Amino acid sequence: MTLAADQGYGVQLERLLARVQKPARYAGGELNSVVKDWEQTAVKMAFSFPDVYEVGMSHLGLQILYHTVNSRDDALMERCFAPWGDMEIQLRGSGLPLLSIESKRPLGQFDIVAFTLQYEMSFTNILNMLDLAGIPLRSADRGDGFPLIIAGGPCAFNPEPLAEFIDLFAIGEGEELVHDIIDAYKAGRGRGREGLLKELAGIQGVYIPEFYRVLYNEDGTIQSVSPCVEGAPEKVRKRAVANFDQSPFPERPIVPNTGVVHDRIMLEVLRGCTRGCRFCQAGAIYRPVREKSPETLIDQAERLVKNTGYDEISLTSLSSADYTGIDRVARELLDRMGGSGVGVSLPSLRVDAFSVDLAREIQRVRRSSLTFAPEAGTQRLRDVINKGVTGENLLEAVSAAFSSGWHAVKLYFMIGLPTETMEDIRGIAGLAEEVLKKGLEAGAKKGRLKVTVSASSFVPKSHTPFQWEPQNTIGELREKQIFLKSLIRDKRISYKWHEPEVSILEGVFARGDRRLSTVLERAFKLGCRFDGWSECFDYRKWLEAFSDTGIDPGWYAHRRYGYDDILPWDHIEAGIERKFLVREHKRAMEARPTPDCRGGKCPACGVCDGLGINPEISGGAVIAPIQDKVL
Amino acid sequence: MPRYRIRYSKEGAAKFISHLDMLRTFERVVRRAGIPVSFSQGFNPHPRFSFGFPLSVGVSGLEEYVDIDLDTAVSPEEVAQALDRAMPPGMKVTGARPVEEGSPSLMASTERSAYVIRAYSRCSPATGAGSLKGCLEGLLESQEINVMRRKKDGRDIPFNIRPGLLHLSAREEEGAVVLEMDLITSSSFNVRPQEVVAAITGRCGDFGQDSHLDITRSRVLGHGGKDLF
Repeated sequence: MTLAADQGYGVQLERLLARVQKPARYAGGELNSVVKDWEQTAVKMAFSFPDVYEVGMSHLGLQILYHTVNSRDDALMERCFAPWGDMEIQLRGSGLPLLSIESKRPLGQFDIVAFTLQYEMSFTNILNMLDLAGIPLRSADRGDGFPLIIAGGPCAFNPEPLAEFIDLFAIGEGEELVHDIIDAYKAGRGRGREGLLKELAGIQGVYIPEFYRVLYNEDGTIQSVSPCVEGAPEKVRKRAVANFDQSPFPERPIVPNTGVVHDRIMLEVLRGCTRGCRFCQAGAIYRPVREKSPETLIDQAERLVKNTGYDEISLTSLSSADYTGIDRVARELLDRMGGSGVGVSLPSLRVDAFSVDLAREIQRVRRSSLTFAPEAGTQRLRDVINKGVTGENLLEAVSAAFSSGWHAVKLYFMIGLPTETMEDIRGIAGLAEEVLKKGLEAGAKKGRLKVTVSASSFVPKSHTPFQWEPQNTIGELREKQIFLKSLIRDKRISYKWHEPEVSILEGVFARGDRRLSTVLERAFKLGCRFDGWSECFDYRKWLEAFSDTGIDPGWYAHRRYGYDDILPWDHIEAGIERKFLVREHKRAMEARPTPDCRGGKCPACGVCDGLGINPEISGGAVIAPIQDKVL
Repeated sequence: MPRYRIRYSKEGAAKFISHLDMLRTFERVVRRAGIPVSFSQGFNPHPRFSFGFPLSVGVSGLEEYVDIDLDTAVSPEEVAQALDRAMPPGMKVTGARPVEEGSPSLMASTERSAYVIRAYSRCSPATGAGSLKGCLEGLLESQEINVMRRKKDGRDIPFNIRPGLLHLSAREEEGAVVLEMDLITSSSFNVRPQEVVAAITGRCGDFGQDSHLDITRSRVLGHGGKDLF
């Protein structure tokens, strides 16, 4: 019995699957996957994830859009993932194009190929997937016979480095936007590529880069970005879903046949985050905060368990402990489902004793360690980044953890943050030692007591108060890492760091402009793939790509951008006002925190007014966005 | 604790589910099926499953078995129906029967497996079944058929599969050469179908570098060819 008996590609694929390491990545046939009648369905979309199956299948956004599109009678969505190196060799060797998972059809046969942009370091995989599908990389080289290539996700908020390759960017949340795009596609598909794009350009949240002209100043900065086609808006404003409680949620998610990164039910309890950490792009672009009602969550959880058979429900969001009444919902879920061996888990913990108590009470299967993210080593720097966490909070949290029986604690920090000095680095080591001391005081078992310090490198991101900040150089980051390592002497504290080269590239593309397209294409041609995977990342190839194209990565990464500069992403609006970002940046420089708007004080970020969507807090807390009562 | 022997098939995309992933797959199947499966005691309870001899990734199985312990007795027909409804695509439950208390485990009961291998080749048939037949007869007459097996220390050493080769025949069907073989597949001695193909390739001519092998385990049997069901 072959994978897709009705046509030739499945048979050919099967021959290749005998020669690759993990064939389940490409075989499909998972529970709840949807295979529709190809001929009878008007609009065919391929959700293309530019990373391996195990990563892509752990992404809730895929499941939500898959469900949303396949709920329509006139549209279908299939999946495609980046083939791992062994599969790429087989595909190129046999001449077989990249196929969708469901019906094993080449990507080129779809009407719309939709990429998700979760991480800058997956960009070369997008080019590789297009190339493996036999689709020209650049929009300008694609005529009427090729699919519409679209992209969305967090990195679409600075779409410019991909502007030459992608026909249309979908900015913001996709639940409603994808319907608008499909409707407009149906209306405009007979009018040729140009006519179709014009039809789509009128939708809120749609950005069609070829309809915009970018002019540069002599010093290389941007002079202007302006629409050059009628109907394309000056500014593209993101989409956000109102009435989040009732927004479509997949109650029959695909259940992979092989182990994936997040192999459990992902129950989204809330979207957005009001904490306002100044480095965090997710906190900025997913505003306003919207919670689901406890009734909806419990109802969805019960259906999900029945339809998937999973034994774990992860209450996911950017900060689940912030969900109003999280303990009540978690307890009720355990009461209802604990008897059938179903557990509840929290993906991340807030740095406080409440979160630890909650974790202790609900987590049936004990993780061996608890993870906290104080992000910075001194109170001054935590105030700069507006982390809203004190050293006391952390010590209380770890004390609670150690006295509840955990003996390993992981601490996440960032180095290279704005205004950072070696004192702040010293503070990281100091905190780690205090945490260790708490462990000894609580009587954590000798030999098992362990504190892990993990330090990543700060990457300035668009639409955040730190978008103007220069990134540390590789030399500076390395110096800080070595210094921190020298301070950590206790064998019970282990230290992990990230390669600074990857962070710098991430920073280049996170704030890059259209001219980076040539670098990206060159890097792909030189063989760069899976740049987020340390075993695949090849910095020398990237340096070669920059040198070949005459582009200086340092100019993008290490320059301080001016408040008055036109930034490459200024025409993409997340709803947060520029004056708020400037104000927040200035407060950061003075180490002045800004309180969470859940507390009732509106810091006037501009999102609620700008988008016309209010925060949705279950239990009725209201954040009145009163503009004249700022702080 | 009532134990049930479940007979199932695993084909199509499901044949790429590895043996390791099968435990997870069945955990989810029983939860979806809502049957009262018995959990192990301890810190991290797991349902009590006992699988038979592992099926290699990419090999279809028509009559595979798993033993499942339930907390309460349910009619075998009900167990089979509930599980079948909850199976992922490519897997079907074809029967369930109670297992008497004190019976040996599935693994200990399994002695041999029947395999059907279809060899497709672009220059088909690579090795015609006619000439193959004679060669296979010769092969079966030899006392020793050595294939290379990798030891844990990385060395390849010759291993005689002849004692585990119970039956071997070839025929032609729709442009493919079809091999049928019965092999010993027990915990103390086992022969893999790919090893038999390697031995044939070495002595009876090439299936061709480009040939694709479609391998199906059609039956799994107990000692002396006894039905496990």
